[in-house]
Amino acid sequence: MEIFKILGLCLCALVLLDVLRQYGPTFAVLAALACCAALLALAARALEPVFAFAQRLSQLSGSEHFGAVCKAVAIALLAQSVQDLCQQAGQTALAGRVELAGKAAVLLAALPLFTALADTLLALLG
Amino acid sequence: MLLCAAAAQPRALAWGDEPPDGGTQQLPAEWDQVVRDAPMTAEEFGAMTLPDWLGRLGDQLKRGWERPVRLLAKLCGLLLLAAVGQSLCADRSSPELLGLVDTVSALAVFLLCSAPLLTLTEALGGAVQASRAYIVTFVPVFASVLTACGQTGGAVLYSGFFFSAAILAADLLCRVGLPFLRMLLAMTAAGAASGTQTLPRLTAAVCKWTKWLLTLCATVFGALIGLQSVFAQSADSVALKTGKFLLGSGIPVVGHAISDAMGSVLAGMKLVKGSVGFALIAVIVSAFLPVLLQCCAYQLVFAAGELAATAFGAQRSGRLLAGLADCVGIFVSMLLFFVLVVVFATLLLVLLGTA
Repeated sequence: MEIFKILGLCLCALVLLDVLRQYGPTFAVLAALACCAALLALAARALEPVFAFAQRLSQLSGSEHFGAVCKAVAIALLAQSVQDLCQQAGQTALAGRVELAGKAAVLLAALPLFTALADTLLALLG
Repeated sequence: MLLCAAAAQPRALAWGDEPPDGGTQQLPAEWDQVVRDAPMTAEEFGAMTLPDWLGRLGDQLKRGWERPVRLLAKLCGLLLLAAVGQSLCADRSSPELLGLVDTVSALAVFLLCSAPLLTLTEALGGAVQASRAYIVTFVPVFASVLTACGQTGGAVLYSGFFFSAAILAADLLCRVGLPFLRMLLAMTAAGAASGTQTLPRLTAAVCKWTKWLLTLCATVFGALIGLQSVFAQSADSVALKTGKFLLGSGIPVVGHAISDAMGSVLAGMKLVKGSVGFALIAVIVSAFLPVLLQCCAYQLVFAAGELAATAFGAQRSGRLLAGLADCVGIFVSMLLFFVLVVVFATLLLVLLGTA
C-alpha cells in the first residue's frame, strides 16, 4: 500500500507548496526539492521488487553490459527529476544544463560499451 | 577409354565379389582413401532408417541450438531490463535523454550478439577453406573414376569447369563474401549507434540484392553444368556403344563375350563411382550442416529478438536485430550456394551414365 502513502504525500505537498509559493517562493522551491527527495525515496522502496527482478535478469543474461544499461537508466531518471524541478522553478536555462549534464553522464556510463563497439568494429573490418 | 575400362576390369570385378569390408582393399589407393575419409559411406547411408536420421538430427540440434537459445534468453533479459528502465523515464521532459538510453541498450544488444556472429563467420570461413582443400584432392580422383567408367567427357567437365567454378566460388566466398559480410555487420552496428534510418535501409537493400545475385549465380551455374553434363554424357554414350559394337563385330568368336564382360565391368565401376561421389557429398554435408543449423538458429533468434524489442518499445534494438537477421540470412545463402554448386555437380555426374 505504498502507493497510497505516495499519493497522500503528493497531495499534502501540493497544498503546502501552493500556500508557500504565495508567501515565500524561495522556500517553496526548497520544499518542492525536499518533497521530491522524499517521494523518490518512497518510490525506491516501492520499486525494490522491480530492482530485484532487474538483478535477476542481469544474472540470467550474465552479460557485463547490463551494468552500463542500468547506470544509464538511473542517470536518466535522476536527471529528469532535477530537470523537472528546475523547470517548475522557472529556471529553464538551468534545466537545459541539467539535461546536458545527464547526457554527458549517460555517455560516460556507456563509454565501456562504445569502447567494446570500437573493438568489435575493428575486429570486423580489420 | 576402353583401355582404361579394361585395365580396371580385374579390380572392379574383385571388388564386386568381395564382401564390403574387404572389398575396398582392391580399389586403387587414392579411391580407397577417399571412401575411407568420408564420414559416412554410401552403404551406411542406404542402411539408415528414419529413427537413425531423427536421432542424428536431434544430436545436431542439441549441439547447434544450445548457444542460440541461451543468446535468446540473454537478449530477452536485456530487452526487458531496458524496457523497465525506459518506462521509468518520462519522455515528455527530455526525449533526447530517453533516446540516448535507447542507444545504450541497442549497443548492449549488439555487443551481446557480436561474439556469436564473429564465431559463425570464422566457422563458415573454416568450413569453406576445408572444403576447398578437400575438393583440390578429390577432383583428380573422381575424374579418374569417371574416366574408368567411360565418362571421359564428364571427367573433363568435372576436372575443368566444375573444379574451376568450385575453387572460384570458395575463393570468392573467403576473400570477398566474408569481408563483405563483416562490413555489413559493421554497417548494422553503426546504424544502431547513430540512430539514422538510412544505414539500416541501405543494409537491408544490400542484403536483398546479394541474395538475388547468389540465386542468379547458382541458377546459371546449375544450367551450365547441367547442359554440359548432358552433352558430354551423350558423346560418352555414343563412344561406348561404338566401342562395344566394334568389339562385338570386329573380333571373331569372343568379341560378343568381351563386349558383354565390358558391360559388366562398367556396371561395377559405376558402383565405385557412386561410392566415391557420395564421399564428397558426405564430407561437404558434414562440414556445412552444423554451420547451417547454427545459422538458421541464430536467424530465428534474431527474428524473435526483433519481435520482442518491438513489443518492448526498443525501436533501435528492433532495427538492429532485423539487420542482424538479414546478415545471417546472407550467411545461409552463401552456404547454400557453395553446397549446391558442389553437391549438384557431383550428383549430376554420379547419376548420369547409370542407365
